[in-house]
Amino acid sequence: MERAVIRAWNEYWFSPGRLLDLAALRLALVASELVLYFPTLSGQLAMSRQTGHQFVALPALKVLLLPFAPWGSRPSHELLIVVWSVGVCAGVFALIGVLGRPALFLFAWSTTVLNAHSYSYGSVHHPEAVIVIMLWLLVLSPSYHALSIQAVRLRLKAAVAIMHFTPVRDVAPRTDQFALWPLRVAQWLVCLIYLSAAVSKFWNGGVGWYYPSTLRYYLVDDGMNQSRHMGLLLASHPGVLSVLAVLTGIIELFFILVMFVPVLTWLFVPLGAAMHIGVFATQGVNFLQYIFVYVAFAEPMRRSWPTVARLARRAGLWISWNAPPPLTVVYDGLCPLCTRTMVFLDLLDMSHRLEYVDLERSWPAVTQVAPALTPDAARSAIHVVNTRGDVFRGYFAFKRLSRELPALWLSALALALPGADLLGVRIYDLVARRRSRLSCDTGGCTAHQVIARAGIRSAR
Amino acid sequence: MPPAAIAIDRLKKLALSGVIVGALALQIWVMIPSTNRGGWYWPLLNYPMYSAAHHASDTVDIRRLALATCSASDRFFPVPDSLGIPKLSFPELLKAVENGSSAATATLDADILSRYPRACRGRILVRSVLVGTYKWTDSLPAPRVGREWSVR
Repeated sequence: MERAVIRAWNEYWFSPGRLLDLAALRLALVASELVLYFPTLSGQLAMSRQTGHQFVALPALKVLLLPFAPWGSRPSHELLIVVWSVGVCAGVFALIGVLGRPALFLFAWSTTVLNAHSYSYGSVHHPEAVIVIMLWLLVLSPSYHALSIQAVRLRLKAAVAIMHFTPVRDVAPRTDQFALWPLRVAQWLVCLIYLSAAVSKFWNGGVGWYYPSTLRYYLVDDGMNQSRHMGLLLASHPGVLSVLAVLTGIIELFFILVMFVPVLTWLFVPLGAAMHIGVFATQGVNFLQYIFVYVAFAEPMRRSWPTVARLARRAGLWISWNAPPPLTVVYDGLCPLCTRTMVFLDLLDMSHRLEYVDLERSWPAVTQVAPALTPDAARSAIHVVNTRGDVFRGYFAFKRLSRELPALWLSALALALPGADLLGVRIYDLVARRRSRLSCDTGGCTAHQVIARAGIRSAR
Repeated sequence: MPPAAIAIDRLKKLALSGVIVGALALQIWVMIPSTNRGGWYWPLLNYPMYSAAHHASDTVDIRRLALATCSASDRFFPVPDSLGIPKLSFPELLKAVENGSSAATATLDADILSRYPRACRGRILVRSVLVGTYKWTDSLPAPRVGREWSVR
């Protein structure tokens, strides 16, 4: 019995989870906190400068500042500047995935200290709480093992070591037994918070909360104080208010069902997002952070995708679209720089718009898409072929790629400037002439030779 | 997998299980609505905002701050912003000042003087809107003076 419980517990929390899901949550939380919600330094200094405010340090602030300030004391300006600066730097590192756990720890620490400092002067607000908890949990997880510079460096190293590039879509997703638990805790926290809101409404408001006058009161109050005209307009429509009140109750009370019936995430996650956007638009109350935490629900959404697809097919809503990738990239698999470039392109190719062909391993595939291309010409520069058979060489191949990948659209704009082509061709030729190749660059390397050489190289 | 690695994995799982149970149990504990802990356990909180019911006979009080200098000829002018105080907290502060809270008045005075050093007198202007008859197209009722005090 005891063993069965432990096994069930381990299966629920510590089954292998996709590192990509966890990394996506890290990106969503760190980016949103850093860009949208990180406390401003001027605000922090203004608060600590003002006299007359009652400062009562929250326990979180007392504990986290203990090594740097006496227990319960008001942090000095210098300390606040240091905490804020450390937070911003650590946040950037945590976002791009450099220094992994230490960066996440420092970001969680500074975010908690600054928010707790704000709330030590008066009333405590709720929006940041769930992100702060989740940042601390991410510190204990391997969230930086994917979608990070650290992960890209490892991939580059591996690709160059074995001289073989494989697109991400062709590799089984990396999993880790410690990748699932933070996602599940995030899911449970969101459900418990909604449940807390629902229970409070029943406890404090009872059935009266669902009368249109309640929502109208809050819309007028916030609408007037926060200058939200949309809220004031909505307050004039009691019928709509009744529907919204009931819908709010349903979302808050039944959101927890997604933990038991994963397919319901497809219903409740969009409803929850719509609720937060609606509350922000009509009342100016910013709980949009929850939409970023919803990234944790990507895991049950993906798990239940086959059910959704089956239901959609049955309802005739399914559109099958298996169009081939619009561009084929022909690259030199014996050139380490080219292999590294393919790793980067694959990283930027989120929607899988590129097909990659290593000319040394798959020459027949090259002749299929570009029959006029000779092996020597293909080795001399990167080539990109579109579905119509147009071939773009070297710099112009990159220019075409930059138009195709949204992540490169800014560089596409730069490459469209007058004179860019002239300069681009020269730079490309210079780099192409200087790049190194493995020794079989004069004749055609067979796949067997390549693998044999790669084996020798990686063994060294 | 070597035995040492298995032992480390088990230890990790045990520690993380403690974290999971601790985080979720504390969250459930602070959710119990009968006890008000005043945000003491932040970031673990309960969520009772907007939970009170309201009736058609209730009124929404909209408060604005107005200031005047000490010159006898000066009239009160409305303060256009929230003096750098978070917009959500500002109405609460004005309400506390209107109700005569000395701590809230001291806080507001400090904020006023940091932005308007010549301010001498403060006024809380209140407009009361009846919830049941509110219409988007109606004009707001005239304000009454909720409180007037000397800014120090």
